[in-house]
Amino acid sequence: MNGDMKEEYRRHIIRKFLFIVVCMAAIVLVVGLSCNIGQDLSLAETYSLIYNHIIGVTYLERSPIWWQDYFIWNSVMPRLAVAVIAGASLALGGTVMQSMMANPLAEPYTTGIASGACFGAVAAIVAGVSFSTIAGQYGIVTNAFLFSLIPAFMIIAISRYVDATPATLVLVGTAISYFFNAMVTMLMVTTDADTLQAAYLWQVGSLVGVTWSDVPLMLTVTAVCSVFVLYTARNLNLMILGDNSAKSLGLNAGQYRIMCMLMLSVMVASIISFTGIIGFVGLVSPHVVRMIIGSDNRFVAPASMVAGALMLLVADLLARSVSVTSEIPVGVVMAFIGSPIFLMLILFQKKGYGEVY
Amino acid sequence: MDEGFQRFRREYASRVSRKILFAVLILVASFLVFGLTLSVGEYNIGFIESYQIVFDHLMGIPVSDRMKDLIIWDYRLPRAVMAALSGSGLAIGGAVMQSALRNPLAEPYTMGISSGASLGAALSIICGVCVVPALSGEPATVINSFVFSLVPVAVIMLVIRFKKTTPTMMILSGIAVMYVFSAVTTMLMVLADPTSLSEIYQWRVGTLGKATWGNIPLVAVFVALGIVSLWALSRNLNVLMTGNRSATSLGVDTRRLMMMSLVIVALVTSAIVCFTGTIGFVGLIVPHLVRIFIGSNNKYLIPASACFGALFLLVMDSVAKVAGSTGLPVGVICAVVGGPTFIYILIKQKKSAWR
Repeated sequence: MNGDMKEEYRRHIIRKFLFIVVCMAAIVLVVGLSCNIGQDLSLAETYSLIYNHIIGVTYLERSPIWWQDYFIWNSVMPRLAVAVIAGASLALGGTVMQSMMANPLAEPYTTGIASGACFGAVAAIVAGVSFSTIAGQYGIVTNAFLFSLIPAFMIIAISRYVDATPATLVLVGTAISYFFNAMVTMLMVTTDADTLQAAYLWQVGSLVGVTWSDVPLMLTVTAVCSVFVLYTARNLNLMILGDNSAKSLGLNAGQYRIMCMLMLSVMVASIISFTGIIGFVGLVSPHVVRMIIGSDNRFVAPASMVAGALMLLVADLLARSVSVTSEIPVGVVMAFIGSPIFLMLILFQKKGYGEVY
Repeated sequence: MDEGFQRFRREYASRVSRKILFAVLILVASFLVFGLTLSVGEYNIGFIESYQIVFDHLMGIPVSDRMKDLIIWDYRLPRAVMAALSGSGLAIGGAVMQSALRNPLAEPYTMGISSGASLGAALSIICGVCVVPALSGEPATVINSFVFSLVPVAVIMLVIRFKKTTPTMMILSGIAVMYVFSAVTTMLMVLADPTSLSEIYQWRVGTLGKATWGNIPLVAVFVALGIVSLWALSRNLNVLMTGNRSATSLGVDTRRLMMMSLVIVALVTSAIVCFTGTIGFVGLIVPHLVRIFIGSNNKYLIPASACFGALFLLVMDSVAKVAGSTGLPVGVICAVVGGPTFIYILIKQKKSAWR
């Protein structure tokens, strides 16, 4: 009897690990396919090119193979790296937010990070207002980053004065994001049509134009935050039970929530200030993962990270294979392909998912 | 025992009368603000005089100043009526959605109505496509956005038919449909030329400026029927808030109740949205404000939200008119003024209203 249960538990765990491994394998595959677009190389040749670059093989300058290597490594790879990092960190943000707030509607942007970033970027584009003296692209990035932290710190400051239940925090976040969105709208409706287009395109979010120099910051912040979250994922399981139960089980729920929010804000801010507001992945990827492997956050957190990375990579691959020249925003492709699949998952899942909240 | 019971009854009665008093006060305030918003504008007309003109016009008494009569009756009154109607319609929608889905983040647009309506409007404005052929311009946008806004709701109804009606399920299917629609809209907007983009952007922000007498009767009928029927459901909605299982064991048909309330909210919201665009904030925040003052009993929450929503949008529209002749959209003013106010009230409230 006891052995049976142990065996069954082991099978459950193995299935969860298997999901993560399959996602990782799929990521490697999609990276290969993405590098392949627009080149007449076989898939194996692409992988060997990538492998050779990693082990440090150099080619004769300006030879055809040098160009191929150059194209893959300087034009495609940074984009893929950003897709992986952004997908993973947004999905992680969604997982943490949903568990922490015990609300299936929560996403990484629920605290108003996105609207703050938007305001910063649009202010830079429309009004030329910037915190930094650096002109152009980096002015927008710095502005977006700094402004996106304002809502987060406002919430953390306010949470000292209110009864910091999840419902109250979520509402404060929503009110703040409405405020900043309104400011954005005010800037946008008073500006001329061309500037509005530029500002709107920033808002939609895309992976176009990212370079290697953007990667280190994102990677460091995401790595630090994910280590923190994965290490404390047990606490997230307690948070779903509600603050009172979590407290009686020995977790300082309020403090842990603030810690998580602080971490997530910096992480998400560092992503979206480079890419713009990429939606969908943060909200949907954790739900998809929960439907497949259950709601234990020790597995949901890493699994939704790989699943999020995979989603963003696949969407990017599709966007680029539809048209290499005119860039379709990756968020649009992801939502367009992803939502029907999501709806199917909802319709065909067996057990009553959704009782956890 | 008997004395205790008497005291309990008195206490209950005083609580109820406080709630009713709140609703009545809001109603009176709405009436006052209604006059205020009529008198505000580029052409100066007195506060009392505005009421006088409306009254005279209603009674058929010829007005001495034709100019003032024209301004009040043909321009300011439709806008004010539309503000009151859409404010109350969106606010009850939010109150009912929050109760039915048991989620403080729910609002009338949670089912994807706004994304559907936006797609309809975008199709009409950017591509010139309309579901009714041979229509173009303004009417096409209205009809398109009404029809498309009901599509996501239909999908959710299908999901409910075949699956369990847990709130999470419904929210998630709403999200899925919403993303499909907004993906298409975003695509259209990204590819659009700057002028159309600017027009559709303006539509999405929402405005009361386009209200005319022609479209008010329809909205009024939808909103009035919505308030009455949702109020009739309020007792069952209260039971539903205890959870699906408890509600079922207390004799409420949860599936039917959820479907009915969603359909009613959807129809009311769509009727408003197709004429005004997606005015945000009201539907989410007004019910929460009312909850802070009078608690979460739907029997009082729904009518009080209707009154407060009307007041809220009337005040914001007056502010919008004062703030600039450039025509700042009312949705923007709502969020800029209402957001900080809401946070202030959240901080000041004694105990949380969402336990």
